Amino acid sequence: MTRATSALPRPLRLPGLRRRTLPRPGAALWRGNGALRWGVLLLASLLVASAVGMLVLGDPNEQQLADAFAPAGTAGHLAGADPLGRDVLAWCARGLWTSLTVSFAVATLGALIGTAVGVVAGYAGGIVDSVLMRLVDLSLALPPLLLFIAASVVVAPRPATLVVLLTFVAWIPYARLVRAHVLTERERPYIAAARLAGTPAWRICLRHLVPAASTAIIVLFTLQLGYVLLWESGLSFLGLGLQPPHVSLGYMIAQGRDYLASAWWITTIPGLVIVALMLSFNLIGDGLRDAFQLDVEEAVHER
Amino acid sequence: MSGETALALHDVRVTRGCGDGRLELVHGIDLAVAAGAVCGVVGETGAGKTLTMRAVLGLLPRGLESSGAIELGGQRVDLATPAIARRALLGRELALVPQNPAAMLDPVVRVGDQLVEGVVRRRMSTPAEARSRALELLSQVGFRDPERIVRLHPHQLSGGMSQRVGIAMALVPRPRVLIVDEPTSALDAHLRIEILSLIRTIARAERTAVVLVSHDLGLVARFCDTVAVLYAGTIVESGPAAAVIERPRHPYAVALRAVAPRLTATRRARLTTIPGVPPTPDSIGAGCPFAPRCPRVEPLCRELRPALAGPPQQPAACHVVNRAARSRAPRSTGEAHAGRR
Amino acid sequence: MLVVDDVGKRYGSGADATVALDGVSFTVAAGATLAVVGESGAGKSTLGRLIAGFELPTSGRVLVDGAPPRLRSGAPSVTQAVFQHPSEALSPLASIGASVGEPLARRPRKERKRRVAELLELVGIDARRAGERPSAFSGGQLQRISLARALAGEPRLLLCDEPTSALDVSVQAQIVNLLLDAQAQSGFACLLVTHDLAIVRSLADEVLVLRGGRVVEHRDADDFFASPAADYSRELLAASV
Repeated sequence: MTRATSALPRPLRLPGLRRRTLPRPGAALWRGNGALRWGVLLLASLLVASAVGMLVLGDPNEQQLADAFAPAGTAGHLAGADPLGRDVLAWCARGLWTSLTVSFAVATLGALIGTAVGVVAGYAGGIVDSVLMRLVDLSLALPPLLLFIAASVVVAPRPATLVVLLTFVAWIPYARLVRAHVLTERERPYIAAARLAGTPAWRICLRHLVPAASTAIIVLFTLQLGYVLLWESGLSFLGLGLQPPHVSLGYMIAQGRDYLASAWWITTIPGLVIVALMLSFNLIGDGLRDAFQLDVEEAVHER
Repeated sequence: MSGETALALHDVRVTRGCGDGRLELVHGIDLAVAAGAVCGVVGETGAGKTLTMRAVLGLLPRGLESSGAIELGGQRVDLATPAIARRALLGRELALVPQNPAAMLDPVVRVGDQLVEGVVRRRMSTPAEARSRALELLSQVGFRDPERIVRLHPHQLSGGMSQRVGIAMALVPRPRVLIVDEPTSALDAHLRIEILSLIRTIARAERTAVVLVSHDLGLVARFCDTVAVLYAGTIVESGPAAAVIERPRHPYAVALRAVAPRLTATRRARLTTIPGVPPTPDSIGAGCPFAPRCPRVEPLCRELRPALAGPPQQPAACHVVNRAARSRAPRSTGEAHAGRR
Repeated sequence: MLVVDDVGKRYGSGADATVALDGVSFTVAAGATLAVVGESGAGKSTLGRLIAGFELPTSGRVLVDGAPPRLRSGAPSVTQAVFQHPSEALSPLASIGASVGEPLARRPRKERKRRVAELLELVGIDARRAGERPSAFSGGQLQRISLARALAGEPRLLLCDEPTSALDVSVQAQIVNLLLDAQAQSGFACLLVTHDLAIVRSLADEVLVLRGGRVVEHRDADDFFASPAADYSRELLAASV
């Protein structure tokens, strides 16, 4: 291509887009961003409800066989009771908390591991990159469901082990995404300048490359929250995930599976909680994406 | 080159915000471009040349509004009407070659298909006609093998080639006016000359009016017929390109000429600079925007914004320079009489 | 200060190899400026990368201040650079003070801050603005900040890669003056890579013309502009409006 190029590493530029910067925190992110506001509001409400429920409603695992199949609205069982007399509302309160902690834990661990792998692969290049990317390919080749089935035979399903299992799958998209960003970013002149300044590689990665990919990482994080939630609930539903005494929304949904017509609340209420959680994750994710996009657009039109 | 005006801008303004926070970014641009002529709009970053063109094209970003009017082929269009309503004009009468045409090309569609897409979609011609026109245009912009080019994808084109394809794309609907935005900033020197010669040739041949937005004085002097110099959102001087660039009147234009690095400079000698920096839109006071940096500033300059005035063929917006011109005028008329005898 | 001795760079191998540079030799003394001109694809980019130490030559050698260029962590390289696009030359997320102070990372904090303030004033930027991000500055100002960072590294060689091509005309003159002053003060050798012959006239002592990876002409600047020897050089001059 005949075009007046700069002598040192050529910046790969997305046509039409200028430098991205982190969005200004606080007000600018919030203003006019309905999705973000509603999402955060919903999530906060769910958190508060869960906390209150766990304090007030007592042990979800407590079985009161006399109350089995109590319909929703009965005194003492606002959301009804399951076949073993366990209070559905107490279960949901605790289950919500479990789901949230597992989702956040997996998404965070995945982000940390995946980002680390992505940055190292992208910056180092060469053999390191090849090896790490083959590792990614290998992990992708393992069907997650089979992995979980096998694991559940060997290991007792507890929140901690579930988190580890799910992280096995969750780190991969981060690695690829961050690597892609790093490949672009490392060609930019300011990285060349950092190398000339004597900045050690680890510092370049941490101070320059990771922050440059941060908007993408954050967006992926919010997407992952939803995926992990569904995985966790799904596995628990199938009996592979969390089982009593660990409290999972998926488990309760499975309990009510045979009684959909007669005791609808056993399945439906936990189901609605999952929907609400997913909705809040998606709203927050959409809102953040819009906010970051806006920033990119404004950067373009600044001239 | 007839005197028929293909495009005229009347008091074009661009503002941001409203009420108390209202800020004017472009202050009343008047411009006229004849059919077949090339008019240069020159200014540095922030002078408002790109904003003005976007206002004319109806492509202003969110938050900015335009006012004033443009006259296109005898038809007057008010810029206050929403851009959507003005869309019919865009692409048909008014075309744009943006700064980086490679960015304008869809990377997954072949060049030929992109050339015909616009006109076929708007039913301005049949696919067959559009295709032959595309081939015709590609040879007009200098490709010796248009049949090969139409089958290529954008990433297979070099910088100069995509620049030419961009021009061809803009010319497909036979626009009356072509706006070319910084057409050569990404190209090597000899390619620049090629592209600009091409633009000028097309202007003459098709009788298209061309507005060339650039910050490169040398190129503008060489390829434009008329030029308007922009500073801080106003035209400070306009007239025939050679005259304005070689013999500028307005102190800013004079300063630009003086500071431009040139091949005739002395080795390792410091260059003259214009003191200060161009004003931001919110810091321009009541007077002339160049006053804080002007070597010929007078008290009047800071109070009253000068209008474009002086000799009609090369007006400048400067009190000092125009007053000097006026005091010279009666004498020169007498001398002219004397000379002719 | 800078010795380029019969340097060649080849990418790939066998029949498909691309030769980016072939048999390039020149020297630049301390305090002097050599301009490398040529069109895109001439090899200017590659030459810059070899001299900075980002890549190794496939033949010949490069010596900066007597030693081959080496990028070490913990101390700034003897070669520093100023780049074409001011907005890309500084980390968009860090304050300009942090960017300018990057070559001084090993120094104690107080000393670093003082030096950063000194350098910013030297290039004409208000030191009180050290905490602001690059987005708050114009192109010309960013280029000055870039130069401040380069000077922080106390370079023996300054690589200037199209330093004025992305700037307005009136700002170009300011940067040219800044480069002249900085070089007079610090005495570094300067390698100016550009296609803009007008600033070459103002800045360079010698001119080297590259074409297709080879040296077409290498002469004293005054002689070059008065009467270039090669046809290609004449073409380049003619094309500079």
